[in-house]
Amino acid sequence: MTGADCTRCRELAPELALGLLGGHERAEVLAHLEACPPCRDEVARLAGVHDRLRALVPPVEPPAGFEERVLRRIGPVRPRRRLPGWGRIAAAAALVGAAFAGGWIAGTTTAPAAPMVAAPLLMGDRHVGDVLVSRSRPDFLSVYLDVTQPGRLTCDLLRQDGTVAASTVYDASGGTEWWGVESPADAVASVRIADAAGGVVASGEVPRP
Amino acid sequence: MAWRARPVDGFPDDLLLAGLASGDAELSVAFVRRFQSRVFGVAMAVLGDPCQAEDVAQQAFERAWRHAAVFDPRRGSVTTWLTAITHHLAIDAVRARRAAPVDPMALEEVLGAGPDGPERATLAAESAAELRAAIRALPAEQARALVLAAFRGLTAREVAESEGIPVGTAKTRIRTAMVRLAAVLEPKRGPS
Repeated sequence: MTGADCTRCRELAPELALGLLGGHERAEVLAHLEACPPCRDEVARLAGVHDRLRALVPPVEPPAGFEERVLRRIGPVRPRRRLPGWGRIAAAAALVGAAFAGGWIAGTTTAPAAPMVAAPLLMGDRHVGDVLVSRSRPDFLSVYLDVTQPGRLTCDLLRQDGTVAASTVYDASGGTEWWGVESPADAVASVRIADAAGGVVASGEVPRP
Repeated sequence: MAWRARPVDGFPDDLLLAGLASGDAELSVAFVRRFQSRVFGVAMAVLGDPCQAEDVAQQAFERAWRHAAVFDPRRGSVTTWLTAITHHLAIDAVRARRAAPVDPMALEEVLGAGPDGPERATLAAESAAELRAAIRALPAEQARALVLAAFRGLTAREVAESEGIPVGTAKTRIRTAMVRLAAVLEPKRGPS
């Protein structure tokens, strides 16, 4: 690395950050960046500007039928399955795990770098669902539950001392149900779901990202 | 706090992306619906032609589907990742077709509608307003060079040809504009 290399890199950094550099010049700059942290920081700084600029572009509704054409293009999608039960990793975890194999989703005690964490919902010792939390949005719980009896469910979010931090009801139609629920910050330690008669049908800890 | 009547509408972006990758019908539809206008908007900004923009937008979703496993939320949001994919594909497309002179894009066309613009979920409105103000404060020739490079995909050499200026001047204008915007976007330093 020389001062001349850095000068050259500085000249080309904006076009690299904008995705406009190709061929020999791109290879030249990338090779330099491997060995030059200050230039790497400079390119990252300019790339950050490009990210922000793209966010300013007004959204434009695509032509009618776009959604269907995209979905056809990426191949047949499968309808949501009604699962007969839950394995050690629930359907939710399997769903994202299939796409993000290798630690994309983690149990509460492993893979600290994974972007999502999951904890089981249990009924007795039976695994009946999961609570998932994304590191990028820790105040949002994704709750998956295998509902055997359609009907009204009450979901309590509980503090560490067992008191109810928030509570709500949901009319479940049965089968594999999943919903999003916003959690009041760090106050919630666990989830308890009860049926219309007040019987607890699932409970579990809220995983900490 | 509330349960959602249409639960997937409130799902985090990365969970919808995972659903797309795994072929889940409901999550795939939700993913496409959530991002299609942003993806198509970026493609239109670069290409300016609805047919080409649709082709690029479709390719972008296909690429997201194929490469979802490499998405790393620690490096940025799904929106940033997906619009970067779209932009790269649009640049490739514009390179392949570039023949006619490029109309300089109107600044207001790029800057969008204002505080209710597309950045609401990805960039704080305050920060977007600051960025818009910073772009408007640039000297006109710098703003034009930036728009041509960042949104229409012109290299510095092409900007120079389009503007009738030396290549070195085009590079300087693009770079100066970006550095000024970077300074605006960086966290304000408090008194030491």
